[in-house]
Amino acid sequence: MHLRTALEAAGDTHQNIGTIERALSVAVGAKLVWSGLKRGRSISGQLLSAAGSYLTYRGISGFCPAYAALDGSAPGPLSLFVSEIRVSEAVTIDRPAEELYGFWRDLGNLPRVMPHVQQVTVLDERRSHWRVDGPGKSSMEWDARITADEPNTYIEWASEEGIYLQHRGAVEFESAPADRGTIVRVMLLYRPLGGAVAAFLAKVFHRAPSQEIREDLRRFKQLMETGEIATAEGPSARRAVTPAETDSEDSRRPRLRSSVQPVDLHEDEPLRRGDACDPVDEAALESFPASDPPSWNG
Amino acid sequence: MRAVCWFGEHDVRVENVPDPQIVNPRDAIVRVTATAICGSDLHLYDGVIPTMQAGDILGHEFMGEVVEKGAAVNNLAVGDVVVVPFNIACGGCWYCKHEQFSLCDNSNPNAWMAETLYGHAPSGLFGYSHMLGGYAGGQAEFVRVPFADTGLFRVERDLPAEKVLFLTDIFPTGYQAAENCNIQEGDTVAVWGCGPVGQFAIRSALMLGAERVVAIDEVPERLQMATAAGAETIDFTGEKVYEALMDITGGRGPDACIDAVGLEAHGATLDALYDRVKVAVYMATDRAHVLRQAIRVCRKGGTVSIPGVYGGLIDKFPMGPAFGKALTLKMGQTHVHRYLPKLMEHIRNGDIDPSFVVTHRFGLDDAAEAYATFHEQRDGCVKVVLQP
Repeated sequence: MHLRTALEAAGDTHQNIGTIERALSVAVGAKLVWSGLKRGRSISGQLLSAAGSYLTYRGISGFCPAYAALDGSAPGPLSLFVSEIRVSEAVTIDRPAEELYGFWRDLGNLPRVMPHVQQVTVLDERRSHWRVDGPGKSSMEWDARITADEPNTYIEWASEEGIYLQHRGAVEFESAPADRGTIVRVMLLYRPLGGAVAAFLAKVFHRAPSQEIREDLRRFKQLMETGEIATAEGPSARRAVTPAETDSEDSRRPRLRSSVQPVDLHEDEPLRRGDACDPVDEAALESFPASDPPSWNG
Repeated sequence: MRAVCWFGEHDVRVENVPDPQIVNPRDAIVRVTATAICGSDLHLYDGVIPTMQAGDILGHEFMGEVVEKGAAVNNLAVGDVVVVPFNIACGGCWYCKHEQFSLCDNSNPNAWMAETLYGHAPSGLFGYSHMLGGYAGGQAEFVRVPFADTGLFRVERDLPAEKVLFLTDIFPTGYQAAENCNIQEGDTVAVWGCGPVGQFAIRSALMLGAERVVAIDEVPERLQMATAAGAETIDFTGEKVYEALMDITGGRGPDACIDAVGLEAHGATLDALYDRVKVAVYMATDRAHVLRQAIRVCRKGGTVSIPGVYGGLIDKFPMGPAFGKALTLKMGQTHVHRYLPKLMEHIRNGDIDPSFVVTHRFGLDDAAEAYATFHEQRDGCVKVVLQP
């Protein structure tokens, strides 16, 4: 069964909280977030914010995973911790499907557009080994297997049995109308460790998978359409000037260097979140809203 | 290098910052030979554009000389003299291929910010907030120009800088505003705001065949500049704009109205006061007095063209009159790249000499004074050029 069919069959979460409780949940949640934010970056502040965000989310969505687990409307009492997360994101890229499929099918390319993926090692025609950023500074590794491969149209994969982050994923390449290029749709179905709670906390702390995939797809589009990934890396007055960076003798100097080293994206280590390479990003991370996608955008 | 940096409302300073470096293969580094303060920089100066951060380098109107280029830039040489469009466009996306460069899909690294607020992200801009890319601006000695092979427009070395500098923004912006009016024989075009964009809109409307252009402002020097271009003028402090325009057009109303003021419109009317209060208590972000007036006075079936910048939400938008009179509203950031060859031709032919708009020149180090002069319209200030 194609993953898309599986996604549609999985259905949506339903509402299981009454109107008054939802309103209360939002009000109390918002208050907790506010109190948490006021405590700044302390652990207690972050926990308060997280709890507040959870209550707010619960109120706005009208769905409480705990209730679902308790009243049996979810498959079992453990569903709070093992529930499946579904993600589907799409982007339209002005390049032919063959080219986009070709880039993606060569799995070793993917870290170029997915900064959280450290490395993909192709083991054979079907199998690959993945190493991605985990919580904190850790990394997570697994093997994946391509389970369906229709040239220029569709690739589906699944993690091998026995790992703690089980998932199935697929990418679909479909012609957009007239001259609009190719629609690339990525779908993921996975069971995160800790289920809904972990997924929600990930979302609170800016690791929402839908947002991450959307940004991956944006970088993929940039690379395919322009040959590079856009960055605002550049100077600002937020970073001290070191003597090496500016020529102090004459600031009006004509600067005619010969030619510069070509930047080869192929050999570059992909930028990783948290790398202190962009002063703008660096400073942005210091202040909210940061240039890290916010959880509420997912 | 030295650069003009934003630190908050009415606080710009010249700071020593690191020199920019080539990052991507399609980058170039430009040594800035002339740069200008744009009216839209005053919105930043007033702190009304969201997602600015203390330390950001300002400026999006600049020209200079290519001093370095990335490996993939083949259509330019080190030493070329170039003008730089204020919007950054990749040249490869659907929008760029359809010449809608200010809507480029790929040039805004912070696209998610704009998507959160606007639903979609327009192109990245130099020195104009993190939501619009977070790029370092051109009021500096050097600038990194991304997608230089698409963005940089070569000009003859012997042309005076002030003749070509405004190709980066205000000349094409005024021209696009006039083009959006779809001017027909016999048309009267009313232009609100005789700042730099308004001045170019007036001249462009006449170049595009408008029968009459009526310019509306309160600053005598700006109205004189409009008169010199061949416009009739209305001083809104002494005349009622609606009545005056209806009189000038024999009761028809202008065929097209250009709002070259944007989100910080001010006036002495009741709705302008209302806007001030709303904005002050954060119930709206933009003051739309001019836009309301333009919609009210525009003739039935006419066009309201909006080159003035709007950033967020406006209140009491007169949708009923716009609908009832079947108006066309045209707006958006300028697709600068699209107009460069044509407007360069106009300059070469002597149809227009854009340097008419310059009233003040400062060294880069005096940027703080330059901003204050422009902001307070001191000493007849219309346009400021900074010399690095």
